Amino acid sequence: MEKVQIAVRLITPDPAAVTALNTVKAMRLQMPPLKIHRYDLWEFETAEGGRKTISEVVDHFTDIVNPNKQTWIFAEEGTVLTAEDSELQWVGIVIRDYEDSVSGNWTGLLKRRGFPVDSVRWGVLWRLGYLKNTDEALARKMALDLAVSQTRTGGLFSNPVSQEVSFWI
Amino acid sequence: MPCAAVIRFPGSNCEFETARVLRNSGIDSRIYNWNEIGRLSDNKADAYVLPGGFSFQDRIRAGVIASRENIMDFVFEEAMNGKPVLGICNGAQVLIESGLVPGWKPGSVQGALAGNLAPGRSGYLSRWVYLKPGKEAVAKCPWLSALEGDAFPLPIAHAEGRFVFREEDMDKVKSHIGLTYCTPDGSAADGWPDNPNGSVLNIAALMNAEGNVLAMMPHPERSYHLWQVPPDMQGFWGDKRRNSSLKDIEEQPGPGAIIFKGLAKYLGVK
Amino acid sequence: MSDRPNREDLENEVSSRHLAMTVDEAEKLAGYVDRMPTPLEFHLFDTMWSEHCSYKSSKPVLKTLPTDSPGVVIGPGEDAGVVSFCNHDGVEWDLVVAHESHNHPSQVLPVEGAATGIGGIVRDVYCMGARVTGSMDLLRFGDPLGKKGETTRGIVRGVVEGIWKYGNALGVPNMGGDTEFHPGYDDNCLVNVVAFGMVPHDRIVHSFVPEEAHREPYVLILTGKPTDSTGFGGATFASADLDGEQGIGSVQVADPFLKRVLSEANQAVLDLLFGKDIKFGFKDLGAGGIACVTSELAAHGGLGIDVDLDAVPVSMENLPPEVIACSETQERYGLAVPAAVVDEVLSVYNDRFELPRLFPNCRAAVIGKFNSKPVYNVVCRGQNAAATPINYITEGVVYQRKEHAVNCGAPEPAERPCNPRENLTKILTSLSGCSRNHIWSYYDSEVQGVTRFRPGEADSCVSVPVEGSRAGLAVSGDGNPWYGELDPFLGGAHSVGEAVRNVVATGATPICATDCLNFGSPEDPEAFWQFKQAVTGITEACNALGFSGGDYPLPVVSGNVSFYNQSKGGKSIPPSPIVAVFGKIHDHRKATDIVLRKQGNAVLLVGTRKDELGGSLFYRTCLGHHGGTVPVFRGSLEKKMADWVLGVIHDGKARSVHDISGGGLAVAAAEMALASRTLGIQFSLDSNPVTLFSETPGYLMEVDPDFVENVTLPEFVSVAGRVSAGCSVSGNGWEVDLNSLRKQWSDKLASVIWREEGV
Repeated sequence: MEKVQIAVRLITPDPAAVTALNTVKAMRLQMPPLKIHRYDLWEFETAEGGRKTISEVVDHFTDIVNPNKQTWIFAEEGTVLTAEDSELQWVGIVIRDYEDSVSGNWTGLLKRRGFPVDSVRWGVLWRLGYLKNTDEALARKMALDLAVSQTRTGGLFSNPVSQEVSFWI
Repeated sequence: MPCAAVIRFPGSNCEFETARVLRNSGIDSRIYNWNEIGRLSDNKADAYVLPGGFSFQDRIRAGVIASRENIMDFVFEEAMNGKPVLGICNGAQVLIESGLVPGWKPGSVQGALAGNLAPGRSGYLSRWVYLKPGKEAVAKCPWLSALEGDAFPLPIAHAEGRFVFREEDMDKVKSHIGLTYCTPDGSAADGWPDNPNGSVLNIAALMNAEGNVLAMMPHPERSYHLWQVPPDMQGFWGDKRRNSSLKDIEEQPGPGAIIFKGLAKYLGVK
Repeated sequence: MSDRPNREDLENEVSSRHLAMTVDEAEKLAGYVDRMPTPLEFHLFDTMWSEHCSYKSSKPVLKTLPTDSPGVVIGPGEDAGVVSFCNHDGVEWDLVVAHESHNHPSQVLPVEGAATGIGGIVRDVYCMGARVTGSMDLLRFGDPLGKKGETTRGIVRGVVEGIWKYGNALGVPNMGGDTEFHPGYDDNCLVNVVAFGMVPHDRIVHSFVPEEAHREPYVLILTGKPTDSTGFGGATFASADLDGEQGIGSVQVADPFLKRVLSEANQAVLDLLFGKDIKFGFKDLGAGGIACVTSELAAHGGLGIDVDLDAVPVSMENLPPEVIACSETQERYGLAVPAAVVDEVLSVYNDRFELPRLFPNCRAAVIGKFNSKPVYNVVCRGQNAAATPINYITEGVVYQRKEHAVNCGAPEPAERPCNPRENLTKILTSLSGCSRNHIWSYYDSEVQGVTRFRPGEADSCVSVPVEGSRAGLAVSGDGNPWYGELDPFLGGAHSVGEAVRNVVATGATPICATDCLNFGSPEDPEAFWQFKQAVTGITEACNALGFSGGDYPLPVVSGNVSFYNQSKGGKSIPPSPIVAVFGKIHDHRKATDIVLRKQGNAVLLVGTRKDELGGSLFYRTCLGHHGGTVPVFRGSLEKKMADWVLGVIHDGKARSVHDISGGGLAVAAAEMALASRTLGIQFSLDSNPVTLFSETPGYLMEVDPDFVENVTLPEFVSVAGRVSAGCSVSGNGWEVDLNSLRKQWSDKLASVIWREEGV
């Protein structure tokens, strides 16, 4: 069994990321992120074939990646997701529902269609770009604060009751 | 005449019919834009309604951005003062993201309206469901005060309507239940499709401890008249709808009218 | 001295700019400006002369469509058609209707294509000054289980997702529509969209700068989303055949949330302008973007305009002038108003509705000034980007296309074995015959709180759109690709016929129609012949089915032509004329649905069955055959049947009504029984394929038992059976228990397309 992750993004500006940045700006944080990118993050557990199997899945289903509007890459340690990465101190946070229909339904569908995939887990990867010289630990702390809505005024990206948050390596 | 404020966020889309049915129930209603906190706090209202729609297109997640609009500071205050506050569908999502329901520690996020869970589908679902009030709902909640305890139907139309709570809060939640999904004959829903979204404890509407704030996913404003009930509806309301005379189908209230009737009664409308 | 470019230079420009115009057309353009056209001029004329905008092949044929009827306020020509609807409390209310296709974009990007399809069509209705009260999607997909099934299933899922994600957020109730599967759409799906709305008669807005602009200074305000490069080349894309990845950059990004806010802001601006009795022009930005909206607002008002592209709010830097001017960024409108009210108008958009806070650089801004010099002048960064005599821009081009008759004659099946129970079971659980409920379950059909019948409850969706008035509005859209394939004339005629029947079955009187004509290439003489045949069919049917008295036809008040619907190999789609009919019922309380009411009631058959099963659901699903004999279109009989059915409904005597079309009488009966859940129909008719499954147009009507005793039935009406206990359909020696089929009937689409079971 092998875990394979892919990150998918729109080739046009993502309106949700634009709105997120707008909202974050209005929160008057001391050090807000300067840029925000949004990706769909799909995690697959393959019974066999690993990346090859997932490439096939991606080729077959335009619901996951439609090449006419999206690009995708295998998203694992060391992956550079955007060309402008070096300009800022980036922190990636992954938001996943503890339970969601999208993941369950795709797991069932891929199995029925005979792909050697044991499970699918869908989530959203938000990448927050802080000033280049920001201390990495500080950037991660600020991103985590922003990642969880504990109260009406603090945090934004996830509801802690129904969603889990993790750092994206 | 008592007055209700309908708060419109960018992307709300049920504000007009909500204001209309309030008026038809004997309550004056006015629509306020998200940026009219000044006008709203000058005028105040006797009740507040956050209508359905897609505030900020449900970006990030439904209701979260609207809950941060500063007009919500005022609604929050009024809710704390005990004024009746109703959130319908997207409005319910705003209320839960505002920490007004369940409201154990007001302002703190203690529940979620997560994406629908249903077998073989995800995303939006619109259909009519059957509901009945929770144990303490009729006594506590002005919006539910005219209900008589029988099952009644309302339409739902949402993609994120599954009430979720932390495991340790599950007992506490029970006294906050406004409405639950049920079968046409009133027994508890046993999963899909009577429970249309996977809500825990079949919860369709949730109130705060005082009962003045109610977050409900179904749309009472779309079922104000008997003629709005689908002709193929099962149960008592379906029969009533199919067998009504021309006069009755126009004049008889639909099931959703009971919600607004409850508020009118509470506000002293005769 | 002219510095007119030579043909070779023009050829280079056309090919390097990926223009759809011919070199002859480029020469014509160069002649108009008497020099090498600027890039902006090339792209502007490329759009204006595209099939999508100019109707250059179809115009001569479309002239035959009837448009004249007493209720017509605005016929084809503006963004949408307008007919008078009702008078309530001293206000004359008009119905605004529009109908378009978004086929090519939806094939490539199903979610965005379907979404921007709705976005575009509702803008057409909004910009007549109306509030949009409904939309409808008429969908044609390939075979989900065929050779290209996987692609098709993804497209279906994507299109439905696009419709709900966009349409539901807009707050416009979706009134359903129909869905057909046919392998002829494997490479080219059809997404036709209808939108409609209501406007007080004295608040209709026109899409040209008003007369007053000849006397006082008028300016052009652009409002909405900041311009980017999306959709550059969109209109020409809509008219080009789908060849691989050519159209990728041309698909637009939809933003329903901005659209909703913008619509409310527009209403506030219109209120402001009407309140001050100020004359103005208003037009949405669609194909050709800023270039089209500025030139058309000016040209149709008999003026010229100076446009300053540097004043256009943009979201990308350094866009070339032709991209700023011609990109098809969504959610924008153009408004021609007197200079004196500019500050107030801008303030509604930018302050009261806070557009700039909702999306970076989203706002209203003045980008042009109208003037009396008949020139279309555009400047960008100090340079002239266009300087064109303005009348040429809207003049258009016309081509006479060749036609060649196609021999459609096909044989009937040699044998027609009929086992009612097996046949009906098979039809109801087939992809063609099963319920569309799963698709509709994603649509919000009830927002605005005025929906009377949702999709599936009656033959057409009905709403009560004018507050306080009992007037009901019914709408249905239809078109049968199997008929079109066997006989494009009948395909056209029956599209009208079936949509009329669906409206009539709810008790509404048809008041107008719209059409969307989807065909292959007009340069292909056979496809062009099919197009002409279908238009002739629509014309004949509309002439026969007018309900305004006298010889007035059913007027076709708006529509669209979509050519080049073909596969990579050049094979055209089945001829697909799709027609929407709008009807009015004076008192919505009398509207009838398809739900059987009471055991023992009589079931009447309106329309004698004939042996004409070509293209029928029975042939296709049970015999694997298409047949050849499509039902004849009997115009005067259709009209008589409709008048009689309307009479019975208006007298309050009809308990439930369902039209007979796909699947014939047996399927119509089964659908009525399934809707009732507890009742059925027992037929007293012969159980042969013609009686049970022929798709000869007609109706089934449930009436009280004594109705039959007290009324003399016309010769085309007979008693076919009675309402029985239990959800089943039965006849001589056979019975189908429908409750046992319900799950498969209602779940089939979800199972195959959404869950991919058994594929």
